[in-house]
Amino acid sequence: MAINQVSDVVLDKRIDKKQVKYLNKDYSDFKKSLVEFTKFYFADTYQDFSDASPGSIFLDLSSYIGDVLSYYTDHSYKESLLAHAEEKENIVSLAQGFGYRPRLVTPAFCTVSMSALIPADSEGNLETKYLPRFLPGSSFAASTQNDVGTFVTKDICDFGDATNRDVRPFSLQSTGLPDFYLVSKPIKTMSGTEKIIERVVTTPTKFLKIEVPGANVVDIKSVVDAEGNTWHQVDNLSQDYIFQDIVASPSSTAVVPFYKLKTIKTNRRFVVRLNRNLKTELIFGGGTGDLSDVYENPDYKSVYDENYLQNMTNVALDTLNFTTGNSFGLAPGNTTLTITYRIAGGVTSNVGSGLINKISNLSTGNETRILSTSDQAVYNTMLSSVTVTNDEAASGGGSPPSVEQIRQSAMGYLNAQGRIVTSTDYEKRVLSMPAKYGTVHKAFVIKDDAINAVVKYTKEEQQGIESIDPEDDVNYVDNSPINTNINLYVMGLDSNTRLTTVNDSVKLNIKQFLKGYRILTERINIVDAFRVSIGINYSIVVYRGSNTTDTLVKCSDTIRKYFNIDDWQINQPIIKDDLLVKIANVDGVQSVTTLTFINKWQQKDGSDYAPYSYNIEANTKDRVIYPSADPCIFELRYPQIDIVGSAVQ
Amino acid sequence: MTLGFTLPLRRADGGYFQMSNDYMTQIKSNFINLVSTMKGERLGNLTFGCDIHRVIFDSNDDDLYSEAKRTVEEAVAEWMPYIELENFEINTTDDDKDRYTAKIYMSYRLTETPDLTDQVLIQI
Repeated sequence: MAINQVSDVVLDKRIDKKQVKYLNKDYSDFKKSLVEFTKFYFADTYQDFSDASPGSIFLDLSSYIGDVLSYYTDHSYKESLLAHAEEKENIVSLAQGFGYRPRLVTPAFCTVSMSALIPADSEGNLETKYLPRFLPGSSFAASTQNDVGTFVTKDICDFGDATNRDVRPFSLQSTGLPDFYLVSKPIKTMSGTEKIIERVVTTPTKFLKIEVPGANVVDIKSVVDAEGNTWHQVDNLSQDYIFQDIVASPSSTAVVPFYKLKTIKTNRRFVVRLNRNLKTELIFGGGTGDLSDVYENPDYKSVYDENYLQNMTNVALDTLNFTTGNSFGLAPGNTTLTITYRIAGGVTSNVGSGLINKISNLSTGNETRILSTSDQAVYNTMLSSVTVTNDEAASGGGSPPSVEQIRQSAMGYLNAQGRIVTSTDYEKRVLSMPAKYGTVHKAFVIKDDAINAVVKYTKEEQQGIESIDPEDDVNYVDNSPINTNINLYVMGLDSNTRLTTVNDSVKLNIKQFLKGYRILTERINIVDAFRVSIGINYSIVVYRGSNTTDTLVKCSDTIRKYFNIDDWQINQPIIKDDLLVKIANVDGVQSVTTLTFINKWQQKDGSDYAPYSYNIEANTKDRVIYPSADPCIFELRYPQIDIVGSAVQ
Repeated sequence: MTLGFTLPLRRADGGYFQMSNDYMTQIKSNFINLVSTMKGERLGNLTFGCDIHRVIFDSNDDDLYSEAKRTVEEAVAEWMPYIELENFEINTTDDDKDRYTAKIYMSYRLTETPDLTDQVLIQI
């Protein structure tokens, strides 16, 4: 052993003796500990601890370094937590790590009114075959705008859908019948100027990053390579399925929805994120392989494949991602990528009302109507008559969100998780389905009780068997059915805002739409909810001096508002006293003498009341009318005739 | 038994800095350290030091001497209260003026033991 080499035993003893404290955080703590340490272990070597002593410089320096290191340790830890980070790039980075994509520019939004002159038929009615449908991407501009951006529609504008549609005679024939109608529909738009960049890609590079120039990028519209292949934006590169819109039944304007949802497996994909410079960046895949984008349904059996183990994050992130590859998509190579994106104009996009009146582009898609040559000419003339204006000023365009806004949005996103687990999750997700896939106005979710009944029956049957064989218990547990069926009851509204069933196309779209969110093992039955049509008979006593007719009108109006279908949900009971109080509070009402609910149904009352009768009396308890076991919704279908009131004074 | 490091820092036997073995040597190093340090210069102890370095940029008039002496007295009173300044002289030759330096001669005594005195000559 060399003379100056310390044996392990001696070293251990020194370490045991010299108790170093690791809890110091700031300058004074460090210096205090260093002084104590020196006094204890170097009592014979160093004694002058006054500030003027040159040795104190070293103690101060060491303490200062410890303080700075502590600060940066704390800072680094703090900046790694979404709840406490303060630097914008860190918050953006953390938010993106959680799946939330912050938008650093706020575009202006505006609801514009599109109008078109639609010919009348021979009887003076609106000729529906000429009603146009405009796809998302139609763009308009303000008359005062130079380079502050256009306003782009984000949803379909279907003149065939009577919701919010305004129809007025525009001109009359000599017979007095309308010749043309002016039909208007509101549609929401978002400001954004379209820009295009091209990037030449030579050798394929794994996870190629392309930074989009400019700080105000709102979204990426499209990425197309030189061969004409479309590259699809996905939430994360492990997601190899995307939803694709397929134009549905274009021959009839009455068909809702306009699109069918289709899942498509895509290898050409990219994600959009903000880099450390807070610039928008596209990141492409990292592999080569199957070049074809194929339509197929996800193979849920692949969960048992070996790839499941290789791609755990894949499966954990998204039920759509039972992918058979782990390259995270193709890396583009030997091509030119054309990237079309939109930038927002900030506050300058907040144009005043009536200024958006220039049509930049009307997107009618590849819609091919079954029209004769002469009808097609009329249709084209109709298209040339389309005008646009904004009754309200554009608003919302402005400065980027603050650090706190990004933080709160990310935390909200994290809590939401994009999963549907509770019944409320299901209902909200269905109700938020984009209107282009069909609109669902009422949704209600309940576990399928049919299987529960089987479980109950099985249990009762098993309990009836007297057996001492423990194997029976095992069999009982193994054979117990697990109820993962969920019944999703839905209803829609017709053009007169009355309840109606949702057609099969919309139900298929709901099925596809929920695939990306629902739990794999759950099975959803999408069914029509029942509706129960009711009528109200009431009588009141009116104060002396009050006008009886006016008071009755007010009472009927109160009842009509109470039963506004927007405020009613499937399975919601009617609390009679609530309505009674509302009527009693109407000006001029002294007392409500009777309030009767009657059931109206098609076979008895005609019209399009609910086809089934409902025993209101039998389902009333403690002045509450309960819905049926099979979820139903109460409706006052025709308030003009379904409310009957009488008054005495 | 050693007390602390001496100025200027020098390497001593055994791999350590040169240390003082008596109080007067240590106090002398401390005094030089105090007067040589500008206020704000010391990391972690920003008020430590002497303002004499500010005075040297003042005009060379009658007040310069008294102002320079006051700064040293103030620093000593705050950081080395165990000594008192006795003499304070500024010697500036023509060469010093050309090089913008000054030699300061200072002597001090211990407060509790006035018989023990020492002197330093520093150039700033």
